[in-house]
Amino acid sequence: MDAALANPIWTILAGLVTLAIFSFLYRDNPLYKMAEHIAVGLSVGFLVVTYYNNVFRPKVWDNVLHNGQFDYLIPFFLGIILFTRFVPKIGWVSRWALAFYIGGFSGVSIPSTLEGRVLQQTEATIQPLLSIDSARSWSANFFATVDSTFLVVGTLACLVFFFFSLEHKGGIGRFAYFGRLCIMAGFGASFGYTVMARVSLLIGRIQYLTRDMVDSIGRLFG
Amino acid sequence: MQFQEILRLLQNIDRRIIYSVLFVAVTFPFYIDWPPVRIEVSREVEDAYNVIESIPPHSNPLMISFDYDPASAAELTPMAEAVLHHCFSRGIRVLAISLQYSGLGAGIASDVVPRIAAEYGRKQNVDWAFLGFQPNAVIAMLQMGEDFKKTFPIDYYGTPVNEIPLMEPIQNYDQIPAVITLASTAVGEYWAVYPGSRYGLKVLAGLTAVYTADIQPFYQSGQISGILGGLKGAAEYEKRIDKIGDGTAGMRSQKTVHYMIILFIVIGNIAYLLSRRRG
Amino acid sequence: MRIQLPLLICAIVGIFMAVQYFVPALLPIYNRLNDYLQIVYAFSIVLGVASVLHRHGGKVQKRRKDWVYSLAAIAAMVLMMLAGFIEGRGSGTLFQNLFNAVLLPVQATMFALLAFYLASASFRAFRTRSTDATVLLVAAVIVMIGRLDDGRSLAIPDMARWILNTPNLVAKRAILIGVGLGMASTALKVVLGIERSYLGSGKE
Repeated sequence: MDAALANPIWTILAGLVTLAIFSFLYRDNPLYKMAEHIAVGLSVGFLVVTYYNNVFRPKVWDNVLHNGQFDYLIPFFLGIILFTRFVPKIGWVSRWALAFYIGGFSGVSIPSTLEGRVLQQTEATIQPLLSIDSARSWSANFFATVDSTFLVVGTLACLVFFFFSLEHKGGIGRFAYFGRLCIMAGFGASFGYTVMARVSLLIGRIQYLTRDMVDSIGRLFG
Repeated sequence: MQFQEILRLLQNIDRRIIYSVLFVAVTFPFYIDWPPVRIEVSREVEDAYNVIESIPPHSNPLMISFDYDPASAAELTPMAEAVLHHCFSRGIRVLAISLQYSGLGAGIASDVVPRIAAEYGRKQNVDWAFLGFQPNAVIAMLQMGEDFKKTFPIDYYGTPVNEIPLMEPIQNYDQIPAVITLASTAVGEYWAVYPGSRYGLKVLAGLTAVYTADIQPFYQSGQISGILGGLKGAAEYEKRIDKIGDGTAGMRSQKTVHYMIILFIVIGNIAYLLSRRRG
Repeated sequence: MRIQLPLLICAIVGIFMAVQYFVPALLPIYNRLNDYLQIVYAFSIVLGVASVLHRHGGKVQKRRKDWVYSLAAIAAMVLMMLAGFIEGRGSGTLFQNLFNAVLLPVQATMFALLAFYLASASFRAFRTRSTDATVLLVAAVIVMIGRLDDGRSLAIPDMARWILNTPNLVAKRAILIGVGLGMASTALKVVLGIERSYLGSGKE
């Protein structure tokens, strides 16, 4: 089949599986199930090919067989013993590999997490409450100052809201409630963005059906 | 029909009616070019554009990390295309990778990058390269900070990285002017937390809208230098580079659906408040 | 062997990986360990694949309900593997075409379905029942309109930007700092052997 003809057929196939998945909106049905299972199979096949070509071949086989770095047999061995989980009697052996991976990953994440998430974020919060720049108008200075103050006070209030060692009563309670309102506004923003995201995904598929698939049908039969 | 009955019905509109209205709201704008949309380029997008624009042509490449899977392709592929159009039209080199754990991001990159490169006659391994995929994003990010060639010994197509001309001057992040992560998960944040803080890598983030609100603290702290948020972010970038694409095309539908959902929320709330007032 | 050895491995590797951040002389070993971690992680994902195969294979073998779908899944997996290993990857290959024409649209559409459920759920669940809920709802509506660059006469895009850059930012920052501290302390507990749930129940 020549490429020009192959292309619309693949496009139409993509449109048909899209419709098969949309059919779930009516109810679960064999078409949906078949498309879903085929996709699961394909994604597993894709994963195996990709992992072999991008990880196992260059990092294990090539290093051991071509570069003479036999120490790469250690992670290979650790990887293999993960499969002992399928054999209940010796399943505990897989813990060695898990311990290696989890220990290494936990260790590497401690300094970076503290640096990137805690220290740099805290540093960005510690800033002057007054934000005055002679080049700006007085109203711009006023709003900038309100924002700077909000940034510091709001972050503290939200942290207090999550701090349960102090009872949220009186002044602390009111301060924590202010934090709670900020959190609600933040969740509202997240919700607005989530709506936007989900709608975008639907737009992408409808765009595909109404434009690409229709064009391909036209090319194939027209 | 009693007023109370109407209020009850309004609060419990059948889901099939909502589905149908949603379907119509998404589909019709593609045929009738309505409603009009206005796209303003936000400061976050402008910042991202400026970082990429400042990379000299035919020098060290912008790194693009395809950290998303097909589920988010509708939002992030228009973004990838817009950034690639920008780069290739200006002769900025591109180094693509994927750190999405299932490997499916590599499938998207291997389709999108060569396709846009071909539009501008850009040569593989000279103007662009696709190094492929590594499963654990954090470990790969940290490895690249020391040695790219150890992290990706061969590219996606099996070529040894030592034989790729584009990779000759590249040892680690010191030779990378910036990275843009196109991410549908927390991987976008990891770029700022790990290589950003440890190696001082300049990070731009193209994110699904879901993550856009969450990433703001990193933008304010300067750990992320620019953000493209969701399909709207793609549309803004398309406007900035003056090349209309799928991002802009989808904004009409985005608008009708947003107002539709708001209308349903308002109807539901009016009915709820009235029914509560009547006891 | 069953408990102490894994705890020892975890502690040694964990402490080393934390300390290397401050000791550049350890970089060669650190680089090698990173390669090892990547390989072990890859095996753990393959373990998941084996589990999927095990499940579908068992279903087909025992002709359980819906075994035909499991057979289709296995056939699709074999087809993709043959395409990838025999013809290779890249534009125009069967491997890439199957990805573009089946895998991508199926996954993308599955997530597109969420738009319908979200529209229906926001209509049903979004009620101004309390001050908190009202703040949440108002912020959501302003962001949804503001991100469309609509309502400029009412300064809605400016309000949306303010919500995103101020109350949203402080809330997300507090969560971020809290989560960061939580992650670091949990990682420390794992390395020191205090948190050991990853070892399982001990029954296997």
